[in-house]
Amino acid sequence: MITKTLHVALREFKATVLTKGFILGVLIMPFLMMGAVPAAMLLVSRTPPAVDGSVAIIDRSSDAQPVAAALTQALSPASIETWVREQTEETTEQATAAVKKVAGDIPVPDADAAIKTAAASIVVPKVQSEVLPADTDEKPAKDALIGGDPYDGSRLALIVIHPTAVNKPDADENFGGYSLFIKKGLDARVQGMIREKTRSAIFEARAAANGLDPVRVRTITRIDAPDTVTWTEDGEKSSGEAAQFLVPVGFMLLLWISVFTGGQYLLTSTIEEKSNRIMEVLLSALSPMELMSGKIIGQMCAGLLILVLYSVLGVSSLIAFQQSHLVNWANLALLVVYFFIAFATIACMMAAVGSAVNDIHEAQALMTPFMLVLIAPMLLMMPIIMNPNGALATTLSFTPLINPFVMVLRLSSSDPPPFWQVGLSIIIGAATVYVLALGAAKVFRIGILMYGKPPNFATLVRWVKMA
Amino acid sequence: MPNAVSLQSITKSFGPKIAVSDLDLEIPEGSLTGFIGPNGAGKTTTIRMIMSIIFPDSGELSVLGKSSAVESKDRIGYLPEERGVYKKMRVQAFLEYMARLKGIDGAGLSTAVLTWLARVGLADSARKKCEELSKGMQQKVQYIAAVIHNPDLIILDEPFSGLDPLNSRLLRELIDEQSKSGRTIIFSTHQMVQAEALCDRIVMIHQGRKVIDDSPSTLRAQFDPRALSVEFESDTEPPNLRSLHGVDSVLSHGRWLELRTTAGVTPASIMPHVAALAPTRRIEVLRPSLEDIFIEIVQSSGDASDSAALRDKLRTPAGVGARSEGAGD
Repeated sequence: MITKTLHVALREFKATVLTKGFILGVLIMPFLMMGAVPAAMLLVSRTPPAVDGSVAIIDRSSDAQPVAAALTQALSPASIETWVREQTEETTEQATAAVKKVAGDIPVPDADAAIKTAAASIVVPKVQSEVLPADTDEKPAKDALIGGDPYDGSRLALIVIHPTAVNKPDADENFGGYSLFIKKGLDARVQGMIREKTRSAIFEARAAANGLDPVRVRTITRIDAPDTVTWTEDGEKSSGEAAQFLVPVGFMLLLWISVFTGGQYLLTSTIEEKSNRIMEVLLSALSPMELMSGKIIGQMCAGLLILVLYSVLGVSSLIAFQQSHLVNWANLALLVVYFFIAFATIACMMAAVGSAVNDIHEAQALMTPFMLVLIAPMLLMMPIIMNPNGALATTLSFTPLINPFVMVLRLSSSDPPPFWQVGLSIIIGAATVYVLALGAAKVFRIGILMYGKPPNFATLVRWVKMA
Repeated sequence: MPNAVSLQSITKSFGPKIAVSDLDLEIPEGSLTGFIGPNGAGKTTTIRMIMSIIFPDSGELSVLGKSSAVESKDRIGYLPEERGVYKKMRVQAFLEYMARLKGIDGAGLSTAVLTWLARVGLADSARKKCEELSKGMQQKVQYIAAVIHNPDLIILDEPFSGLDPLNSRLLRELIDEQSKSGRTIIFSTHQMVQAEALCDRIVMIHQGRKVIDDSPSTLRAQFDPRALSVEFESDTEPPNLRSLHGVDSVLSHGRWLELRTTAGVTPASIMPHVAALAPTRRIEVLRPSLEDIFIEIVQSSGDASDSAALRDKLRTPAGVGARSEGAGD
């Protein structure tokens, strides 16, 4: 009777979603993550720590040592402080923008003040430059990097400018560069600062050697990359290349999370009912098929709740960032269709395995072959997105068990598949579910009354054949 | 009287093991039948087949006039041997859920649940989580779950296991009430005493085969008493006791002696001669227990097991350990 199945489904749904674990894990997590992103951007500073030490320079480019001169100037305390301030301002501006994007119209009165406070409290690394003669032996110069720490005034780095870094003997050859040797444990941000300043010093020396004004050359060669703009029926829409990857990945992760969360709950609840010896009590009131169907429907609703909730959050975010054109509403509808197929596929496996084992450890062993298959779309995600209509993507779209995940990736990619492929993949998915449901029902009927030694995969197959 | 349950030539195997073999059984409506036998005899397998939880390999089965219990599950109350509760559910919610699964719903459900809880002394546990109850209390909740929908047929698999004497008595009263209200009751037990005290009909199974199917009184009449229980005033056994005509053997049970008579001699006929040997505190005819009857039948059927081993088997509580596919006992 359908009523009994629905009673089981309702209990299963309530027992899952009305738990602290579900509410905290599934419902609150997205909100925490939304807040965590700008917070992390504020916390992660690009400015280097307050190291204290020297940077030795061996300039072999020419006798005049033009690079060493420019580098000494660039590593002066005043120059470093200016550079650190610029970096801090850039970071805080990006953080402000992120906070304001998330907050929308909600005023954030303390944000600017907090950023100003952060900018005021910067620390400037103490670096002294030390120009060594051009013919200095590198070995002892490098040995000076050994011992001490980056805060005790010892040598932090050795920069060796190559002989052809500024002037090259042959016009067809490339310029030389520089070698950088550092003290063990030197902060990556300090390394970055040294690299940037060295690159800049070489550039200035080359410009001067060629009679060019470095400022003018910088101005001439600078071209800011524009934001890509998609032209739609509604006019201009910004479309970063990253978004074209993020949307398919987002869609698939959405499907993956909702399906596997619901599936995992189904597995654990089945094992729990079995270990609590409640199965036979239930079987006195309904058939194994009614029980299994009810459990699957109940957990499907829990998975659907996650899907809908996360979809609403995702779409709301895109609308808030004026990126709603990235979402195809027909794809959202198809996402729900593929959710039902994917969930039913996983649920049949979870119900069968859950009924056959005594605890979660036995289940993990039995689930391994299935999980290896189901993890395939995750591993092949990038090749599918890069070439959504290639042979690999097309073949996997018609491969049972994984085709819902692959199709969701392809549908939301820049080049969606033809309609007939969508239809065929749905038919294959539905057929897979039908076959799996028949097998799962047989395993479930035998498994729920079995205790003791857990069955292996071959035993499950035997149950399917004998039942 | 029509039969509530009818089994004809039912056979069920699990791999090479034959759990139930060619079993015929008829349970009349309104009867209270005790299903007894040692662990592994086939009781639970038979009950599961009656409940259509597993299906026989061959034979015909009818439950409440239908060919399968599936068609009349809402008219059957079942307390399985493997029974449990949803630990995190509250007692009242659990019972209401079970009642809904049995087709009972509506405004009166909460009242019915609370009335039942009060009847078994758990009125203040309605809002408690099931895991907060003791094992005995949980068992009473499970019993309510089996009968809350007022079924016509009640099947109880080892209902007394794990209960203390007080709760055993309460459960006996509850079963008796249900029986008096005309319901058909089948309960399995390995405790012969419970079956003797409650049942109007005894079915005994051994190694998947039915060895007894009769009323307790008929059984006792069929198995004539062949022993006397004697307690002499003196602690020493009278010297001529064992050589008395008609005495086959004398077994000492501490303060009293069991005198077994030779074939063709009734215990009553030698009673005056025994009393004449020495002053007695007590002398009475020993009536055979179901346990004695069972052992006699099994041994007469060619089973090589000795009496002590069979008695041990009968008295061992049913375990919940590893078992083969679908087979209980």
